[in-house]
Amino acid sequence: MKLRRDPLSHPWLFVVIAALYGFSIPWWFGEERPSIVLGLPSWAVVSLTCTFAVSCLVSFAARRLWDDGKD
Amino acid sequence: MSFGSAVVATLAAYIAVLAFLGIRARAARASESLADFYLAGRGLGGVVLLFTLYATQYSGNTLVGYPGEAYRVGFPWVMSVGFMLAIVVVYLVIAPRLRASSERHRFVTPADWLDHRFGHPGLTRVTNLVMAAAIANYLLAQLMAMGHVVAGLSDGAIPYATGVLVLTAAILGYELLGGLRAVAWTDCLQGILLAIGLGGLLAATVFSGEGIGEATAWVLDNQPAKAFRPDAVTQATWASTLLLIGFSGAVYPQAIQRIFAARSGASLRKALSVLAFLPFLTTLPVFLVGILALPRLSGLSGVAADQVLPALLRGWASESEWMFWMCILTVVGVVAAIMSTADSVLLTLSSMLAKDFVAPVLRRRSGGAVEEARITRIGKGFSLAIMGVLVAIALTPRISLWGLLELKMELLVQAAPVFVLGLTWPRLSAKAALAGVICGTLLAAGLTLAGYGKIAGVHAGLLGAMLNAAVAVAGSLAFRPRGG
Repeated sequence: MKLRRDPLSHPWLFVVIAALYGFSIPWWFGEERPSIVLGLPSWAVVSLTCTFAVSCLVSFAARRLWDDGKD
Repeated sequence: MSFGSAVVATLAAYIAVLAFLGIRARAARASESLADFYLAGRGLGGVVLLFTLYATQYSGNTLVGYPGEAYRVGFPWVMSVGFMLAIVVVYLVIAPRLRASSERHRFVTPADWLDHRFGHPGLTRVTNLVMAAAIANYLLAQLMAMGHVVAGLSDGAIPYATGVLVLTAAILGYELLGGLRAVAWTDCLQGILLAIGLGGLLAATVFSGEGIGEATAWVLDNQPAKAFRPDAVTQATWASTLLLIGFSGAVYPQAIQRIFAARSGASLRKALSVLAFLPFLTTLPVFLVGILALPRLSGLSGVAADQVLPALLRGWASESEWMFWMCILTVVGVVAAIMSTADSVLLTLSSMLAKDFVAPVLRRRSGGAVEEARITRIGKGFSLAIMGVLVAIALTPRISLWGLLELKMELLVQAAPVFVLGLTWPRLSAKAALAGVICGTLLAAGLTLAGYGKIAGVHAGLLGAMLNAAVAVAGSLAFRPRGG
């Protein structure tokens, strides 16, 4: 079951994903009325941006950090 | 042509195409082996794998329930965009090793990996029972959703019972003919329908006329609580749901079988690298539909909010010819999404019952090997029997059943520590893992049935899974096998 490259051997990947998911939850936003950015409340835009960054990172990891050495 | 009759006609055409694909899939089979019927001969390429994983992940609940939830909760429901992505994150942890192991040992069901990794019949049986109970509930939910959605979206032209019976017969038809090959091909059709329908709706509604900006301004002025930052309990539920869906969705038995069915590691990697972006093409549009409904359909509450999507579709369908057909495609896409989830679950459930529960008994009785073609036939019999029982329940729904359905994720997530720790931590022992599954399942089921579905915003299932993992780790560390 030896893999040439395994996402699990890159712990930084999961730390960054956890941090991005953490910031997608708007605990950092105040109680004030949010402004509208791109048609959505500003905190929701930041949340979606963080989630999109996770998508990019996961896609990168699937293509570049995983290789079973047979393809 | 009225909206209701257009839905009926398009749905009939869709079912005819499904039947054609079932016949083609049967012609493409190489043998009557388990791997050919249940894993499409381990030959799913990247594109088909992507669509079949997509169709299996996104069920009718995603497409009908999520707009209703966005309508009820407001902007905090933007959390749903991250839910399906969390499953792909967990795939990154388990799929590479599971895929490499299955390529070498030719697994067919998740129990094959459990047997290979732990060699403990008790653990295999209990984990299999937890997964089978969870997905049987899930299948029942899909059958009931089929009836409700078809009745609602066809303006009552197709009654609830007719919807359940006709669509169940269609699923059984192509599935018994072509197995996973037929299911995966129909998943491709469903994915294309849904992408066109949702993409067309998104383009038409967000970028023209009363757009999302106006809806947001209306919500801020009229229902500000739905646009302000969510409170602490909602934030806890947000984090809890991400973890619950991520871990339970990744160990769906039907998802694990797709990892086994991939033609190569490369095709699985390609599929997952695209799957990571699909929440933005699926969950985000349905979230926005719920938000757009707030100013247009104010006053809905409770279960009535689940009618947000059908109500908006009917309204939009009258705006232009383009919108009419985008709405029709979306309706058929929604029905197809439910069918594609139901067919995948049914196929996996029948393979688990036939191969993991019945075949060992037959082997013991005959004192030798059992023909694979015979197990495949038994599996097909289980498909018919399961659907017969579940359709009977779906046609006489009782409210208490919904309580059982809520147990689905809470139960399924109890299988996650066995797979995640089993694949990543060589020291995990079978007895400790079994103790973990039992403790976690009892805690999750006990809390849920006692009415404590969430504690301080955290799901009972997640609390059970945390206890489950803690018991498994502590037990493995405390009772290390001699010499191990």
